[in-house]
Amino acid sequence: MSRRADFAAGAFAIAPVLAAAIPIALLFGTLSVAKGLSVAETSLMSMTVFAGALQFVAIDQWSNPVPIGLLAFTALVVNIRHVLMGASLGRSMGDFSSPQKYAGMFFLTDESWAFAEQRARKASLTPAFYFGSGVALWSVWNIASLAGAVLGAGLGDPAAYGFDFAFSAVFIAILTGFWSNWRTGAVLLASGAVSALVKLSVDGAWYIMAGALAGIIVAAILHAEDENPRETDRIMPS
Amino acid sequence: MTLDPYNMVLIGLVTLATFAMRAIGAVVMARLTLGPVATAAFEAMPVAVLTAVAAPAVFLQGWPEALAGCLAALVGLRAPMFAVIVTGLLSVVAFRMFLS
Repeated sequence: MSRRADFAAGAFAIAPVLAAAIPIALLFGTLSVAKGLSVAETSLMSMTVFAGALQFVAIDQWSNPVPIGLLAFTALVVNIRHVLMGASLGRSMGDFSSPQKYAGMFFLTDESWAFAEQRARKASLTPAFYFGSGVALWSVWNIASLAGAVLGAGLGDPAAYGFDFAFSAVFIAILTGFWSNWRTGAVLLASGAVSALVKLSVDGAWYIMAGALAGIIVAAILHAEDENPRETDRIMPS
Repeated sequence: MTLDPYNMVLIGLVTLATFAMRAIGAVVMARLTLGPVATAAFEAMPVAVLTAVAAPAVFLQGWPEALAGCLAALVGLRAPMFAVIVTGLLSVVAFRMFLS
């Protein structure tokens, strides 16, 4: 297949994800402006960070002053799954030059990863295919996020539309996508309970680290006792 | 159209942290293998962090938020992501009208 056809094939493969990304990026732009970021800053973040869940977490914490340490910590930890995805995808990137590999990793998202892995199982993963889906998703995400920011600037008080609850709704939506089995439930329960208790008893944003740590410990303990480990397939579409 | 220097530094920081996570995997970790405990811990991280961020906002604010959160989560077992968000938003507005 020619390089151009491969690029187009990558963009077409990810089309259902593009449709789903539009309303979410619109919402991101709207909320970001409501949180006090300018339209330009909102666009800048969508262009350079390009990570849905993390962008919502980041602007959720965007208060005055922004807790820098916590922001960096959540950025690392929310996206740490990309280390595993990259580790797995890296094995299928034999056709990529070293600069292409780094550039390609910039476009790594849960969705483009899943499609690239699928492709790599059927045929060899070409850079053209990979960048086709990456660039398509990046473009759609940025156009919709800019549109949301421009529209949001004229919207007024977000609480009137229930938008103050939008972060919670987005996080719940992302979490349901991560559900794989009862262990996910145990992690949810541990993180949620510890986070709520710490929030009630300790000032500041420590509840995020405490809750996250509790969930991670529970996951490690439960898995250590399991004799037939198998996970990792949760994000692959069928 | 304004770009505050402090906000730009923060966005740069988040960009770097995000890119580091993306690049480390493909470049370094593709040569390593993780044990089952480490894999489980890594995989649980996004769920654990997102839950820790969201739980107080859902369960410590009042009945409307808690009920809307549960309803959205139930919808999420079957429906796509955007339906979950819409359910959460509409139901929180409705619960607030009826419960307060």
